[in-house]
Amino acid sequence: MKNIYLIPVLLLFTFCSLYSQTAIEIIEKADNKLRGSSSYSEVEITIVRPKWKKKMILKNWSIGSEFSSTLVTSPAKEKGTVFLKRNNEIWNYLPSLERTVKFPPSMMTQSWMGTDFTTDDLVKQSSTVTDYIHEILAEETIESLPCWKLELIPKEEATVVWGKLVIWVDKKDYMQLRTEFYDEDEELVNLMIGSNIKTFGDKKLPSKLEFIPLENEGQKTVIDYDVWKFNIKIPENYFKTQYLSRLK
Amino acid sequence: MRQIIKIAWRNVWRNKLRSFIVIASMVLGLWSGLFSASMMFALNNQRINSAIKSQLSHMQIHHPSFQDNYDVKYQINSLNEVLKALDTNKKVNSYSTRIVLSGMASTARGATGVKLIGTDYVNEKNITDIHSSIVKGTYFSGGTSRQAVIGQELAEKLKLDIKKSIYLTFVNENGAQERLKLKVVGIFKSGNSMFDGSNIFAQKNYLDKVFGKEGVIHEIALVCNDVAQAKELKDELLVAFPNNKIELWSEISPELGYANEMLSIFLYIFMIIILIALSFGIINTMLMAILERKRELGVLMSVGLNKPKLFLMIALETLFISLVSVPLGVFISYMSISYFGDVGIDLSMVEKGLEQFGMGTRLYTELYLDYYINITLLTFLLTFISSLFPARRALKLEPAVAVRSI
Amino acid sequence: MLIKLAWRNIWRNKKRSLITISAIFIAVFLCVLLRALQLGLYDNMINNVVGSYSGYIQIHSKGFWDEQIVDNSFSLDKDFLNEIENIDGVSNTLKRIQSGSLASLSDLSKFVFVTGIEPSKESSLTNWKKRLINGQLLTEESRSLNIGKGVAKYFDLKIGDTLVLLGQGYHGMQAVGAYPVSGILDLKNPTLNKISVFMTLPQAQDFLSAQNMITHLILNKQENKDEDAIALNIKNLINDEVYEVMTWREMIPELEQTIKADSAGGLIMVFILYMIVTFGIFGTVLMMTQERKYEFGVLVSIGMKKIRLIKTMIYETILLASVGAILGIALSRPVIIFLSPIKFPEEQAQMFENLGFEAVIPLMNTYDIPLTHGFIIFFISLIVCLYPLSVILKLDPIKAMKI
Repeated sequence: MKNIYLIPVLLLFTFCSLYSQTAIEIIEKADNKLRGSSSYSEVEITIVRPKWKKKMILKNWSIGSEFSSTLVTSPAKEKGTVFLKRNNEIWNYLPSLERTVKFPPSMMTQSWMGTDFTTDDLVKQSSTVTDYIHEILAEETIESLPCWKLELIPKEEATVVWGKLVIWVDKKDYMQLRTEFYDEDEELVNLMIGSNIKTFGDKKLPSKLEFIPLENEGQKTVIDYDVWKFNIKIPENYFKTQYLSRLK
Repeated sequence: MRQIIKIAWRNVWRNKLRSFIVIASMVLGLWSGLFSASMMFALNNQRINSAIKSQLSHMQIHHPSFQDNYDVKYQINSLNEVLKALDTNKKVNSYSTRIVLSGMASTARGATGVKLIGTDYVNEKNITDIHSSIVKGTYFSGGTSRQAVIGQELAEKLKLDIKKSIYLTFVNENGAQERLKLKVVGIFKSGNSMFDGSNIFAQKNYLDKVFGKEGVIHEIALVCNDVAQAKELKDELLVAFPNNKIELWSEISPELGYANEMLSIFLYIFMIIILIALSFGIINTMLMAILERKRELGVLMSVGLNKPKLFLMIALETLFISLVSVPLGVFISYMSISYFGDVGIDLSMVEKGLEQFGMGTRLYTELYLDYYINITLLTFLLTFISSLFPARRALKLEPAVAVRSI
Repeated sequence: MLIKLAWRNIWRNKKRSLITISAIFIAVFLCVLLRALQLGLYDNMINNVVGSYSGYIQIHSKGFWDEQIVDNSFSLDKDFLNEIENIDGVSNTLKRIQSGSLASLSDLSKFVFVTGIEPSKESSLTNWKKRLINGQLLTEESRSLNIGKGVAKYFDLKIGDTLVLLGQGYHGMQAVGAYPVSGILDLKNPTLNKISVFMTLPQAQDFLSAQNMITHLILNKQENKDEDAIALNIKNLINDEVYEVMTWREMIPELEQTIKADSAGGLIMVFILYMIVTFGIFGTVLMMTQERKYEFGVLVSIGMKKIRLIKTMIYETILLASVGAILGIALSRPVIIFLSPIKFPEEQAQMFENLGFEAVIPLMNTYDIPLTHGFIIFFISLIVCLYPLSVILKLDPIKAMKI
């Protein structure tokens, strides 16, 4: 009568699988956290280099991932500069010249404002959800929070440069706490670390993001979110090239 | 008169060693001059051929505004008519139609500007020899059409290898950015590292998919049956299609034409120097010979050889020597140049250096006909003038004094 | 004693000696001419390319050449500059700062290289006047731009139009500026024409927020000096953790390869010439020996030991060869100066000028060329002399005296 135990065991397994998360669901939830219909943030970006440091203060308005306006309020020499993203186009308003310039695609792979990411990084719509195949590797703890460790391999046609990503997402709030970027040789090229978890409105998110390119020593870009509001109303004008000079 | 000629002829052969030296030096001079000239031309031709084979082809056709900024929308005008004309023209050996895009290539390690060339690789094989300069991996084959073949210089710059992906962006007709990812299947080395660092070959049918339509052609590269016909063909095509820009390889890459001209000028100067050296050699030798033959000449003069006849005799001696040497020299040169023109000179000792230029290690010597003619005429002229000096010197001899000298 | 004999022998038969001397003289003269031509040609090629693009020697901040960004610039202090300028062979220096940037006009934008230059010093490197096709060249006071004609064409710019420049400055600062175009240039290189924008050095430094910084210190060398020796001197002088020194060979290796490949052919040519002139000398010496057989016969039969005759012959050769060689060396110099530079015929000249090259071949004027070839020919003459020596050795006086 050993078989009699089989049924409850099978039933137990079935229940478990109904409640466990698939890798793609986890990623979707983490991704959705950062999307939302609109957001406003005040950010301090610090560019760290072996021989110098630069701090910038920005205000950012975004709607989904198609529209975003970023206004530089500090340092003084760059105050009033605005970056506008409309779908795939980038526009740059230059207060000292009172002109708006369109970014050509050839400049997209250049660093954005001196940081460690490129303009292309900001524009690209490669979605961690749709462009990759996901798999849960393990469960680990980061910042004393239990997380899933997921491996993302780009799909054949996906236009991403990475060979693979490894992302740690915390189990409770689906925060993306650590992302490792690997090239096709499985060498670690970039690292993104989220920390300083705070509650912004009704969302819990890491308020400090460190973006570290590992190739050069002592180099990183740190983004500190001071203010982050979601689902707010943003006037359409904020994403029109004619209005950029009036952003405050 | 005939007697003088006979005497002069016999005099030449009387002193075999002297005549031999002079003939040998003339033949050697001519041969080495002509042969080294043919080697230089061969070297240069190789360089040109290498460039033509790997990049330029004999001729290229573009929209007149295309090469200003590689704007996608400037495609070849009247494409179908052009293709029909090429198909029916007997001078055309083969041609390849290409999509050419200017964009950025990036990997996790870096980015750089590149030219992306979409070709029909079956046709392309007839035009360029990239398929035979693959150093790692393979050229295109059937299978995934997302294949890319890149230069070694680019592979090093972006730390790429076969089986790796390369990510490309370019601007499409609407001004928006297009992205695509290709897989490297082969790495080539053309010998021109700049070319290798900035060109990527992909499959045209894949790029057609990206454009969403066929028939987007920016460039036609063609090869004639004989490169000499290229200029004529260009003129014919220009008349038929004045709305396109048609360029010969020499117009696309003027530096190659420059090298040829420079070489020509230099070789002429070199030849002149050699001929001057030769002439002096002959003059000196003959002058010295006259001193040696003072007594003999004195005797001849006292038995009736008058001054004009003496002059003629000496002049004829020199002329005979050159009449023997020049044809001999030219003949030997021609034979050796033709022989090595067919068989080629094996240069594997200097292979390393030549490899830099993507040139093969066999030199096929050749020399243009007018070069032969010019050099031969020049040689005759100079020897004629050279013959006058010793002859004049001989005139100054006084028979009575000469006879008594020992 | 034998030397006196040798000397008198030479003067005894002036014509004979003169012919021999002239054979040697022509040999030296022509060899020097050929070599001067070849070396002058390469030098010219180097000058043209190096002069218009890179200069002979450049000093950068270490790591700049591999990563050409403005963050890899350095500040130049007066003492350092003085030290460099005082190095033997350095004629003058020029400073530049260069950075990639976006150029924009209404809807169009494109990538360009912005170079800050010192207009008055640049003319020592290249002739900028030849490059100007419209407008005016920059002066020290200019607050405008000189642009390549490809850039002008892309934006359809006329003199006076304003171009916006936007890019990455020093230490992450944004570089932003709008400047009028005062001159349009043809740099003879289609790529350079499409991406070059020039302004004055101080203005560029301001644009890039890189006050007092430069990316390139270019060194001009004096004529006929060796840039590799100068570079070596500099390397010993500077701190190589902080700076890097490069010659054009490292910056434009393709040029050096081209020259090396051609040079091999050139040496073959010189070798051929040597063969021919050697034959010329030999022919002369041969005849001379035959002419003097009788004289040798007499000398030996009256008791002169052959060895002494040989020694005399050797002295004669040395004297004749010296005179010939020295004459060749001495006369080649003025002729080279007179002939240099050789101008190309009209139709070829046009082609070279289109490429931005001077249509001439200059002749190289250093001392080492005549001296080298003078010596070689001298030694060749001595070797050729072995023939008469062997004749003397084998001489049968009786036979020699029969005419």
